[in-house]
Amino acid sequence: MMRAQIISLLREFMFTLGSVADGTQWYLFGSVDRNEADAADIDLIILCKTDAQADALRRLIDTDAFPLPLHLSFLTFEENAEIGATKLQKSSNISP
Amino acid sequence: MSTNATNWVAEKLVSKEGLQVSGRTQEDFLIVGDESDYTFLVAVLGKKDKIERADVEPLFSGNNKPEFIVNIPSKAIWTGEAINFVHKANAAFGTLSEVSNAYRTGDAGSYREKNMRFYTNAFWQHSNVTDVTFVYETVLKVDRRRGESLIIAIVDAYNMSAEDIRNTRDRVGHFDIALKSTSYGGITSNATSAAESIGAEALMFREVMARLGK
Repeated sequence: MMRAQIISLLREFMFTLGSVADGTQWYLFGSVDRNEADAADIDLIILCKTDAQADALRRLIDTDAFPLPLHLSFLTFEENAEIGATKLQKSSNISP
Repeated sequence: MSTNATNWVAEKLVSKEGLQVSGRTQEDFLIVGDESDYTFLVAVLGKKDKIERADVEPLFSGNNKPEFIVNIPSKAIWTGEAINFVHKANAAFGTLSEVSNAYRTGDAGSYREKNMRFYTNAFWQHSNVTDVTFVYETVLKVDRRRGESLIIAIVDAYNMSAEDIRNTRDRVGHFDIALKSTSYGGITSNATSAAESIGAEALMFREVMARLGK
């Protein structure tokens, strides 16, 4: 229940960011992704096209604006290809 | 802090954390816990960016002293001077969810966040270390017998990226080492390069312990 609600909120939020978020991919992992009742925060990886896009999104996203604190990780696609963060975290792609 | 924020924290402590709030002191500190068992005083601050010593000092000037201080919003950063003052006053600080952890200790003022307690203790136990002090809540200054002091920023990242390095620099300024806080996951080569570009290193815990001796 919690997982579905949070994914819905994150997707809505992503659309409000407009062109700044163009081309990004969002991955949920951790306790919310596992739909655990006592989840303490929302673990989210956002893959970005460039460093500048990652920096812009970091500035724009209010981590206290969700039902649980948002724990953000920004990587470029290049970095994710290098260390496989999304696979390592057993994350779920939630971007459309 | 405004009464509204204190009211908000009181409501969340009950509804989210399952704690009892049995009243308030004349200083507007919350009396948290079970009156038949253990209670402690929680003060609420409302600093948006940084919490300085001057922000916490007045909380200890009245008849009642808080044992735990919560700042709203939680993303505001605690400075070392504020932390040292609070700890010397036998009090603790933390987020809303940490109030429950503090309550469970039965001595809320002695509560310390577990990751920073781990790193502080580990660095203290290193044979080349003479002192460990807070610069910010997640940044430690480590003085060494041999070699310069090192500023170590603990980065809460499962996988440390270049953005983590830049964001840490923006939040806390200069550091010598960015320590990735989890043992699994990796550090990207871009993160290593980003750290090098500002004269720092991006390291895992075991690498930091080795670095302290060099």
